[in-house]
Amino acid sequence: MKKTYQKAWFLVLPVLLLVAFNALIPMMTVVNYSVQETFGNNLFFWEGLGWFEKLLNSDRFHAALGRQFMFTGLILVIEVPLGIAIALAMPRQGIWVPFFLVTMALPMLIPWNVVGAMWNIFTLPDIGLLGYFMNHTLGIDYNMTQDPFAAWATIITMDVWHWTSLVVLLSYAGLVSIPDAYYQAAKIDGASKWAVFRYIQLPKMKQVLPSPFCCGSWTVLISIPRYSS
Amino acid sequence: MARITLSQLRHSYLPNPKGPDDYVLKDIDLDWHDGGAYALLGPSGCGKSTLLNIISGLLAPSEGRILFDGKDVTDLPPEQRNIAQVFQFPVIYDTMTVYNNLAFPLRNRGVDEAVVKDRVTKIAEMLDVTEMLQKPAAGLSPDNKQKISMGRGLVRDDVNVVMFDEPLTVIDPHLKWTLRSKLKELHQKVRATMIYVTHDQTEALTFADQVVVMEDGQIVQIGTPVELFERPTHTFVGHFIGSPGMNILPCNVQNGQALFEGHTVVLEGPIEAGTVDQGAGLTQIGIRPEFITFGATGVPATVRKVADIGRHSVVDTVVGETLIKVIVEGAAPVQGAATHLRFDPSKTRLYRDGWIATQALEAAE
Repeated sequence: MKKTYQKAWFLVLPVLLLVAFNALIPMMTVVNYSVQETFGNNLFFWEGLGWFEKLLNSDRFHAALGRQFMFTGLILVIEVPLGIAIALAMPRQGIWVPFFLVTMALPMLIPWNVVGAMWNIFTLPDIGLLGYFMNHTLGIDYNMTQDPFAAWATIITMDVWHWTSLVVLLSYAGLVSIPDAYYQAAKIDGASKWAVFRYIQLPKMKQVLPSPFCCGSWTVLISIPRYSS
Repeated sequence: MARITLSQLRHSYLPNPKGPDDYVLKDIDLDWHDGGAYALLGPSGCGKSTLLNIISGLLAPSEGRILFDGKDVTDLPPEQRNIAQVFQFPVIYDTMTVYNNLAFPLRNRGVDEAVVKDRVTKIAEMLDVTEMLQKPAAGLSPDNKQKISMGRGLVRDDVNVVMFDEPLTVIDPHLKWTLRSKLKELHQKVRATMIYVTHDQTEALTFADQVVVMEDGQIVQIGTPVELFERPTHTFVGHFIGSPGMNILPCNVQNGQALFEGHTVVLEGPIEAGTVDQGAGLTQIGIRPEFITFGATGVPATVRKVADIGRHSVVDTVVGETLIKVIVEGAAPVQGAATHLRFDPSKTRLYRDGWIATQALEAAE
């Protein structure tokens, strides 16, 4: 019989403490707040599930959630086909490969709050580079701070700029993992370009593409707590 | 089905090849007859896969032409050459069923669905895969996957040649045998020209009617398995085929006689005239371990090691500095014993710079 050393649990204790202090305890504090009401002075009253009830019955919340789903749906519809198309167009060997990979990875390396700040200034109607260009050079009325359509267009463009690279890199990883023999066999079998994409490239990418969809659902999830504040 | 002619084929992967060393294929001239079963045998890196890819059209040769039934196909893409190729690793379309995999090459060519059904059913029967036709191809075992890739090659009845590029690499050893005999059987049924590339002599010799042995971008011998074994025309063939390979002994040639360690060795026939005298170039004697016997007279040798490998023993002997392997059936001499080696004259040959340099005497009786 193999002996089990229960003392080994102590080895994971440091990690457990670390996670407790930076994740578990703060999270449970938030859970605790969610069932309390306060008027300041660190004085709390028991509220029960009242907040949740209010939230779930709020029209504003429903509308916001709907917009969030629409946003996620729209960016996926744009980013997934666009990402696949870019990945297909990228060279699979040669000296340009590292150049394209790094260029593609750049937007993703920028922290999301910086992306927000950057685009905010960039698109301001009268002082932002894009805003000024649209309004005063092209003469297109563009004001993302006032006009809902301009705001939608801006945040979608922003997300496409920030996250299409993820789809590109994942699809590209799937594409380069296909052995040459597959393309050669397809050529000999007389397969059309579309058939090669449909039966060889797409199945390979299908293995890696669920992750953007997960990320999409994730943006919906993490947006929910914001409405409650 | 077609006769395939390779004419003055040369290939280099470099854009501007300079010397002969830059070529992976050096001047190949070859005729593959219609309906033959050929093996292309050679060590890794000898250019056999390159040659295959040139025939299939995946690669364009640097120089030379490829003809199918006399028609120049050098500039045609693979899909217009009507060939089939089975790769080292089974290529199957994961998302399709076995049936759709087999139907794929036909459907791509717009063949009528009734004909597709007929062909696929027939091929599936030949390959014993009828009961898995409706299964998804992704879950099959490697040997069945390889069968399906073979099937995709055979399903077209107008196919000129079916090529196999080391198709048994990923197959379990005990299944290799069955798949190999299946292949042989298929060849007899469909009578398509087949080219089988391998570095495994057993696979080549069991599959093919004619074996083409390649080394370093050159064809060194073309012949039946028996010819390759009995009369290798190059020391490479003698060494590469057979287990253990042919003994290659250094020798001098004087007055038309081969001298090995001071002993005159009787050869199969007269030595062909060399450039200046008969001793020019590097001369070697080639004799297979199977054709040496122990006796009371002959070249004196010492037994160094005896390996009993079941049906026969491989005896390592030394003459001077040279190691000579001998295969004996039955009782083998003991280690350290002094003995004499007798070479069967009809199987003993002289090689000059690797190439055979004796003329076989026509069997008188």
